[in-house]
Amino acid sequence: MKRRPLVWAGLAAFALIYAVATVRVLILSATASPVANAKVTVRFAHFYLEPGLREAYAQIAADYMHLHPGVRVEQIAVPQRIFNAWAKTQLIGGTAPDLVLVDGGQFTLEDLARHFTPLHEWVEAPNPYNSGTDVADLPWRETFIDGLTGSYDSRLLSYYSIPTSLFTNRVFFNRALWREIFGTETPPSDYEDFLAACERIEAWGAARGRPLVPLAGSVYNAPFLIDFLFGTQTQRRQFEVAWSAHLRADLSPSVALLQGRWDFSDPALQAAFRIVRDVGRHIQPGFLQLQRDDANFAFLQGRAVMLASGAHEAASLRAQAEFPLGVFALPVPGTDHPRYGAQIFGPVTEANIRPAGAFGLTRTSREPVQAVDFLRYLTSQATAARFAALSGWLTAVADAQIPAALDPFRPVTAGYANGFDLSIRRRHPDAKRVADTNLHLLIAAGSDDAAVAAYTAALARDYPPALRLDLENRVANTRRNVMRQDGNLAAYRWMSQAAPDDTVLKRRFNEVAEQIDGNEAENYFIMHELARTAAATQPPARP
Amino acid sequence: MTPAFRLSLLLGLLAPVLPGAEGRPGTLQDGWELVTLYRFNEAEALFRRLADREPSREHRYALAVSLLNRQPKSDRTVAEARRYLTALVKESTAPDEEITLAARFYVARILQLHQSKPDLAAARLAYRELSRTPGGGFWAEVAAVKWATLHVYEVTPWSEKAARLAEAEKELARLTSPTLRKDLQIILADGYEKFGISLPAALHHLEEAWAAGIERGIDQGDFLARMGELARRIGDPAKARGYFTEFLRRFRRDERVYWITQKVADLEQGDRR
Repeated sequence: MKRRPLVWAGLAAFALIYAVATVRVLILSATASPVANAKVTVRFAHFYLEPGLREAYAQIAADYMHLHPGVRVEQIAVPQRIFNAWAKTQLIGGTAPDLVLVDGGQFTLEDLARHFTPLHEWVEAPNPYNSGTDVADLPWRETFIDGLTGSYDSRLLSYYSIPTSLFTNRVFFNRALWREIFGTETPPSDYEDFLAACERIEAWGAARGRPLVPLAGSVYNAPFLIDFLFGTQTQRRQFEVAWSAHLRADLSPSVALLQGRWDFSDPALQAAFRIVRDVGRHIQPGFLQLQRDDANFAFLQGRAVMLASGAHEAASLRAQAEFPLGVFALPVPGTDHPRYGAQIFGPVTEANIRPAGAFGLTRTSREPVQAVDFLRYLTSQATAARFAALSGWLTAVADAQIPAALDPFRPVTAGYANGFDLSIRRRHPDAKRVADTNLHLLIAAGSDDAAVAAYTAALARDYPPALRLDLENRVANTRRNVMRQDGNLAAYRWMSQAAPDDTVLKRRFNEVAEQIDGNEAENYFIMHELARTAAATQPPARP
Repeated sequence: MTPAFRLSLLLGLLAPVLPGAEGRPGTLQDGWELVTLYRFNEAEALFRRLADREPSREHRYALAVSLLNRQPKSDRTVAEARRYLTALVKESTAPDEEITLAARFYVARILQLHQSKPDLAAARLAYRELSRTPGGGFWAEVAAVKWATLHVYEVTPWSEKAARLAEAEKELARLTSPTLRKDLQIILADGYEKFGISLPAALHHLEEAWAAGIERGIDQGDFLARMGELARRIGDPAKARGYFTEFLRRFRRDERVYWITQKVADLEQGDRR
């Protein structure tokens, strides 16, 4: 009996909260826009918080809702730092939005398979929003700059995302400072001009007692410069040591190092070290310990004159900078360059850049057809052009008009694949760690020859064992993938026998068999060379 | 509320989510579809329910295959899979029956791939025996391809590779499946090229594989570029130009377009000279 007042108090509190919530919902319903009454809601989530992009998505969503009055499109922008945890929680809880950004590397194969819908059937059909254009009859996938090859998951045998953007890397510069230093706003026209500009900036700052570095840098930004320039010097070498004549950059250089087909005394590698030293000395000190925000901060505060970064940063930098922003493509030496020309094949193509901003369709989507329709609208040629104009981001849609302001970011396609850097296609984290750990030797004060010799010696000692470890890890990963594909082989065999006239199943079965055999053969070749060369590349005894 | 009433209420609320509450138990087809989505644990649970209910050869085979990738994968789960597969082989009175052959294949796969310490020599032997089974059909042919791969890539001096490739090449005569012939020809082409033995032989096998049809669109560009470049290197400019032109027609957005366009121009200039 004594507890009864408490029960009544609890019930009263519950009734009060319920009443407040009901009134609030009624008020919101009465004051919301007409689309609040929409029967269908499509929600999409991403982690791009850069200025301009959310507004662009919101405007395009508004256009779409205007076109489809019964549909409501909601944008959910989540900070990148928590996006992974947030998205996985939503996916596991079955409350994920219809469309989720999937290109941040945050989802595993199992995540994709379990939580996302294959888009194969949709991408093979034309995009109705391209009606009346040159691409009206093309399959949707053919309207993207990469033909959607970057969205195809070769293990799950289908397309799992639709990209919206593309990031090329460029050098941003502070036009006001540039004018102050050089008396003009014209960026450097060639590689030597670029180096001379870096030296002049340092001299100008030193003469005025002003701490000024030519290039802001961080572990994020510096590779845009130094790995790219390194690659220009291995451009020829990578095809000379290639294990296949397919004319595409691959992992051949890793195995070729084991085979002794190149080493660090190779003229190409020596030239690569020198070109990295040329530029690395002009990046803010300690850059590998700094993060992307540190570099942006140094640049925006006027402590650095240039910043190498992706096209997607342009709108953000423009919004934050209190100075006019300039942009140019990093000038690389030509084939006639006296020191570096011999190793260069020609201009570097950007046709191999994988599109970004890719959305996957979640399996729990209540409106999958409408969600895909929104993606079709978003990536039609006309909307893609509008997206580029509104956001200041490049679009992943081929031949879509982009505003003149984005011209400097337009990908260069007339060129050859760049060579390898010491991460060898970003597949060798241990080897790359060795290269980075010793980089201070290469950009240390003193003579060029001494610095290059010290770096060469350090890499010759530490890099091959690290590369072996990376290759062994790769072999183990490929083996794991093949194990999982083994189940697919049995599954497609059983299903295609149960439905012998199903050509899709037959094609998938053939594809799985093709893939398993190809992966295994390449893995065994790498294992073969690891075993054959083991003695030669064991780490030497340290003193 | 009495305790009995509270318990009934709780059970009532939990009923929809309690194990066994699913409406449909699932079929073999459902399980194999889960396997294609890499949802091995769910597939294994489903196959196990089916096998418990009706221990048919099909159910036990499906359970064994799903066990090979059940997570966490361990020697215990792989051994369990092997027990099922071995039993399927032993109890069979028809050596050319689909499940018997498939079970033999997956026993060889365990030796080669799934057990924590692979035994490649034993796997090769198992593949060899399976590939020689009269009426072995598809699984015998897959085994022949696997045997060829292990034979070519066994760690031996490069000087032996030409002979090993020639031995592997003989397996082509056994293969009737166009898919498997094609796969073996790709393996042979890779071997001839990677071990630097014969570019014409590599090109020959690639051309045969290409004629059979390459399923993965992503590989088709590589094939055309590779056949064109091999033809160019072995001095067949007309053929090289043909493959390169086809590449340019079909892969307009590929990163190699600029380079291959130049190669075609060079080949045409060579023709004029």
